[in-house]
Amino acid sequence: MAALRILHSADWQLGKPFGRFPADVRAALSEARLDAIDRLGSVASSTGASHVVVAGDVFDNVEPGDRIVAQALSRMERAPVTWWLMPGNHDHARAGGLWGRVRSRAPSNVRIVDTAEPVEMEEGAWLLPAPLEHRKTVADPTAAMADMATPPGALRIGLAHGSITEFGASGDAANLIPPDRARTAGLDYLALGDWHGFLKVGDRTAYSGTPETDRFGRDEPGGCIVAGLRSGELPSLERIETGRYRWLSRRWSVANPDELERELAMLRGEGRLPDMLLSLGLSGVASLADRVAILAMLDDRLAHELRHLDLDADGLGVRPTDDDIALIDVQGALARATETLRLRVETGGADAGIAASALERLYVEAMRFEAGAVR
Amino acid sequence: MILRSIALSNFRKFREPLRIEGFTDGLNIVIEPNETGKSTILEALRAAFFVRYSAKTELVRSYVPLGDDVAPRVAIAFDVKGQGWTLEKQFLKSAFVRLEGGGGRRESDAAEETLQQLLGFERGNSRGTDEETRGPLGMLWVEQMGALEVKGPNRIVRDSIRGVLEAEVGAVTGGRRFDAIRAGVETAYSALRTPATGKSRGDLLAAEARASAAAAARQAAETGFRDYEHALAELDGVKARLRLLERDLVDPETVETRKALEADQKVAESAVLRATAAEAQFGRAEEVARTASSRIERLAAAETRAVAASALLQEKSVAEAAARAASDGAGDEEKRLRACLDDARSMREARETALGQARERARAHAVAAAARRAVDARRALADLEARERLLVEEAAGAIPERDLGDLAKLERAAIEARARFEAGAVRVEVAVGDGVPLRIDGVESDVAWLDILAATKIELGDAGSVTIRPPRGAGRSIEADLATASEALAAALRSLGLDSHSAGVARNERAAAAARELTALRSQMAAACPGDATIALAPGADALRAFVAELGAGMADALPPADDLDALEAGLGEARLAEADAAGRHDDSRIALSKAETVLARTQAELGSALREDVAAREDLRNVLEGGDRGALEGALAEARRERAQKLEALEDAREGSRAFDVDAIRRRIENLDRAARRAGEERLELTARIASLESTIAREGTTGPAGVLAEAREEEDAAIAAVDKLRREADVLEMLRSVLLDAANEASRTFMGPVTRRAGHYVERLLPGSGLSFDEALGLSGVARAGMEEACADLSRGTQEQLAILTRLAFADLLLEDGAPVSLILDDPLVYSDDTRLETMTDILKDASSRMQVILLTCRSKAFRHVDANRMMLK
Repeated sequence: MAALRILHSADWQLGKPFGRFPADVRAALSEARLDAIDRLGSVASSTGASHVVVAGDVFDNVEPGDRIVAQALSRMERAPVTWWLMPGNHDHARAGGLWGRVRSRAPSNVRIVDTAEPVEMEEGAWLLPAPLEHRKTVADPTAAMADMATPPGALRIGLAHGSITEFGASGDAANLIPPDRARTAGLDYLALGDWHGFLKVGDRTAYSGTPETDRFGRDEPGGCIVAGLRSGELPSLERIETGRYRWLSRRWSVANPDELERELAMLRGEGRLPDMLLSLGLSGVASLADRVAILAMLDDRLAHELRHLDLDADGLGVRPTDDDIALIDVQGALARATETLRLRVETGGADAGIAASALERLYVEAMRFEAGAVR
Repeated sequence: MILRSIALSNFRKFREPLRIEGFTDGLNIVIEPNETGKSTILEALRAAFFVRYSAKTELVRSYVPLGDDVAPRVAIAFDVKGQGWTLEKQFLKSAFVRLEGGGGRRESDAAEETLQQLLGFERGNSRGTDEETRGPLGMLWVEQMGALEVKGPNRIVRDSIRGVLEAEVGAVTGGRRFDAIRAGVETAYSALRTPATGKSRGDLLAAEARASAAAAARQAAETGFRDYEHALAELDGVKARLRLLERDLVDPETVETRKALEADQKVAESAVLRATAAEAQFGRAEEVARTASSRIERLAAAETRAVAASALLQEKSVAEAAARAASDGAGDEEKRLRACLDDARSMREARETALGQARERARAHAVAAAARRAVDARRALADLEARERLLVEEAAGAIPERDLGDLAKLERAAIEARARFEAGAVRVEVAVGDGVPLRIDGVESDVAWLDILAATKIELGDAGSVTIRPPRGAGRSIEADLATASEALAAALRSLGLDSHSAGVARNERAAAAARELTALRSQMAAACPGDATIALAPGADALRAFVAELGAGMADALPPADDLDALEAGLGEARLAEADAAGRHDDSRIALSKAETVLARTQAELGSALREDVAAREDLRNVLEGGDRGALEGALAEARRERAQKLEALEDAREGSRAFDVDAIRRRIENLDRAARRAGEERLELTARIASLESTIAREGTTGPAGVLAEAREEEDAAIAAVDKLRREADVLEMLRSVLLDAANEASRTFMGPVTRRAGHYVERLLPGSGLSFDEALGLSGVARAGMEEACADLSRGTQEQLAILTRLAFADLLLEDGAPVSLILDDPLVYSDDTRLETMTDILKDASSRMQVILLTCRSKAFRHVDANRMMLK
C-alpha cells in the first residue's frame, strides 16, 4: 500500500519587486521570499516530507533575473528534499524561456514539471502536473489528468495552478479548474496554487497559499501544507506557518491620541511589530491638535516600530476647535489666515482638502514656533 | 522740542564763531545764499546731538576747517517739554560735552546718555552714520535732497510708532510669531518651488526627474520585454516549423511516392516510344494506300477525260460545220439585200433629180413672169414719174404769200412814183445809129429813152455831146423816187422770177393744184410697186427701178412648163419608202451575218481546243496505262488498305498503352518533390541558424530578467509618481498657506497702518485730492492709490515723491508728538522740484504743522517762501 508524505507549497512569487516600498523594506521583503525556501526545507525535514511540490508561480514573472534563479536554486539544493517545480500563470512555461534556464542550472534534487505528463516521484507515487503555458488559459489545465495513466495502486498526486470554478469572487475566468477534479481524475490529492491563502476544497483538494505573504488584504501569515497520503484513504492535511512578515490591513476610527493608544495596544498584541507591515486607514473627525498628535504618534513612533506603515490619513477629518485656532494665534494676521483656511475647509470647495492640509501645516508651524520659543 | 539758538566755531567753513538765535516756536525760515554754510548748520546740529564728543572718526575730522588744526565746537540751546537746555560739544582737541538743564549739568558720557534719553535716540556706531539709531530727530532733520528718497523711518521711530499703533488698534500682525511661521512656510515652500515663478525645485524637482526617468526606464523595460517576448514567440514558431520540416524531410511516404513515380516515368516513356513508332508505321501504310488509291483515281480520270474529249471533238466539229453554213447563208442574203438597197437608192435619186428639174423649170418660169410684171410695172411707173416731175416743178413754183404781198405793195409804189415822175421829168428819146456808141454822162448806154431830171451829158460816139439841163427844182427827187420804186419792184420781180404780181398769183394757184395731184399720184405709184417675192423684189418704186435697171433688156419670153409636179413628188415619196425598207432589211442581214460569223469563230475555237484536249487526253491515258492496267492497280490498293488497317490497330494499342501515364505530370511531380526537398533542406538550415540566434539572444537577455526588470520599472514608476504627487500636494498646501499668510499680512498691515494712513491722508488729500497712501511692513510708503489705480512710489515724479516724503514724515511726527516724543522738523532746501501750486499747498501744510511743532526751513530761495508768514532769519 503506497504512502507518501509531501509538502505542498505554491505562489512563491520570487523576484516580486515591491517597488512602491522604500528600498530597505523592498530588500527585506525580497529576501524574506527567498528565506521562505529555507523554511519550507526545514519544515519538510522536520515533518518527514521528502518531496516539496510547488503548484505554480515559483517566480513572480516569466523572466526573472539570474540572481533570483540562482538564489532560489542554491537554497533548494541545500534542503534534503526533492523539489517539484511547476510553471504557473506568472511564470508560465514556454520554449526557450525561464524554465529552460532553470532546468539547465537546477541541482539534482530540483525537478521541473513543465509538461502535462505523469512523472513518478518515487516507487508507487506519481505526480500528475498541469503546468500552464500561458498567462491565461481558458481551457481547464487539469482536464488531461483524467487520461493520465499510472500503475494500479500508485498514488496519483495532481499539481495544478488556477482558480476553482466556484470561486467566482475574482471574476477572473482564466485557468479554471473544476472543484471535483480530484474525484474525476482519480487523484489521491490535488495540490493547487494561485490562491495565496490556505483553502481546502473538499477532502482531496487544497490551496496551500503562499509561504510568505506578499500583499495587503490577507492578514494571515504565509504557510504550507504537509499532506500525508495513503492510497485508498483521505489525505491528512496539516497547515504549517512559514511566513515571516505579517501584512495587516486596519482601519481605525480615532479622534484623539488616547483612542489611538488603545488601538496600538491591540496591535502590539497581534505580533512582533518589526515583522509587521500595516496598511492603516484612519477615519473619524478630530480636532487639529488631536489630528496632529495622532499623526505625530503614527509617524514618529509606530512607523519606526513597524517593518512598514502604509498610512492613509485622508479619512481622518479635521474640525478645528476654538482652542486649535487660539493655539495658532488669538489675534492678528495668523488668526486671520487661520480663519481664511477654516472657511475654505468648511465651504468644502475644490481646494478644501488642500486648505485642510494648509491649516494643519499652519498649526504644526505654530506649535513648532511655540516649542522653539519655550526652548 | 524747540531749538532756540545754535552757535558754532571752527566747524567746517565757519572758522569764525557763528551764532544764530531767535528761533521761534512755530515756522522759521532761515534764508541764506548758496555756499554760505546752510547745510553745515544741519550738519553741526547732527554732530552736536548724534556724534559722540570723543569720536575721532573721519566724519568728525571732516568738521575741522580745511588746513586748520582747531577744535570744532557746537553750542545749542533748546527746550524740551518746556524746559530749557544748553548743549556744548567740542571735538578732537580737548573734546568735551556739557549738557545743562533740568536743574543739572552733565558732562561726558553722562551728558551723552541724558541727551539720548531726552531726545529718544540711541548711541550709534562710531562713524555716526547709523540712521537706525537716531530716532525721531534723525527722521525729521532732513538734509538737502534727503527728502527726495521715500524711505521708511528708522528703527526707533518704527518701534515707537508700532507702540503707538498697537496702543491704538491692537497687535494685529502677530509680530515675530507671524514672521517666524511665515518664514518657515516660505522656506519649506522655496525648498519645493521657486517663490517667484512657482517652478519646481529641490525635492520636487528631483522627484519629478525621478518620475520621468522612471517612466523612461519603464518604457525601455517594456520595449526590452516585448522584444524578448517576440524572440520567445518567434523561437517557438521557428522550432515548430523546424519540427514539421524535419518530419517532412524524412517522410517515408514521400520517398515511396518518388520511387513509384520514377518507375511510372520509365514505363510511360517506353509506352510513348512505342506509340510514336506505331504512329510512324501507320503513317507510312496510310501513305501507300493513299498512293494506290490515287493512281486508280487518276486512271479513271484519264479514261473519262479521253472519252469526254473525243465526244466533245465530235460535237464541236458538227457545230463548226453548222456555223460555217449559217455564216455563208447570211453572207449571201446580205449581198442580195445590199443589191436591193442599191436599186432602191438609184430609183430614189432618179426621181429626186426629175423632181428637181421640174421644179427649176417652174421656178424659172415664175421668175420670168415676175420680171415681166416688174417691167410692165416700171413702164407704168415711168409715166407716173413724168407726171410727178411736172407736178413737183409746178408745186415748187409756189411763191410765199408774204413775198407776194410785198410785191403787190412794191408794184403800187412804182406806179405811184411813175405817175409823179411823169408829171415832172424830161424824157429824151434816143435813137442811135448802128455802131454809134452812146454814152450818157460818160457811160456807154443803149437805151432808147431816158428821163432826165438833172444836167445830163449825152454823147453819141465822137459826134459830140448833148447836155440836157432840166428845170431846176423837184425834178430830181421825183426821178430818184421813181427810179427807186422801179428798182425795188424790178428787184423783187427778178428775185421771184416774175413779170408781175398777177403772174405770181397765177403761179401760186397752179402750184397748189400740182401739189394735190402729186399726193394722189404718189399713192398710185406706191400701189403700182407691190414687190414680188419670187424675184426678191421689195415693194416700192426704188426697188422696182433698181430691179428693172439691173434686168436690162435680156428678157426672153418662155412658155410655162408642162411638168406634173404632184405626180413627181408622189413618185419620189414611194421611192424613198422603198429605199428605207431596203436599208432596214440590209441592216438586219448585216447583223445576222455578224452573229453568224461570231458563232463560227467561237465554234472554230472550241473545235481547236477540243482537238487539243483530245490529243492531251489520249496522251494522258497512255501515260497512266504505262504504270499498269486497272486490274494491277486495284490489287495494289487492296493490299495497301489491309496493311493500313493493321498498322492502325497497332497504333491504337500503343496509344492506349501510353495514355495510362502522363509523362509530364509525373515529371512535374518528381520535380516538385525534389524542389520541396531542396527547399526544405535550405529552410532547415535557415531555421536552425535562426533558432541558434534566437536562443543565444534569449539566453543572453533572459538572464537579465526582462519581465522582472519591467515589473520593477513599473512599480518604480508608480512609486515615483506617488512621490511626486505627495510632494506636489505638499507644495500646493504650502502655496495656499503662503498666499493666505501673505493676504493676512497685507490685510493686517492695512489695518495696522490705519492711523498713519489717516493722518497722512489728511495732508495728502490737500496735495493729491482723492488719493490714498499705502505702507509696507517697514512703515515705508509703498504706493499711492489714485482713482483706484495703485502706483508704486518709484513711479511717481520726483517732486511728488519729495512732497509725499515730507508728508509721511509729518504724519509720523504727529504720531510721535501724540506719544510725547520731542519732535522738531528741519528741512534743508526743501521743495526744489515743486511747482508754485504744490509749493503753496506744502507751505500751507508746513505752516499748519508749525502750530504743533517747531519747523525750520533752510533755504536759499527767499523768493520762493516770501509768501509764507514765518519767522525769517538771514544768515550773514
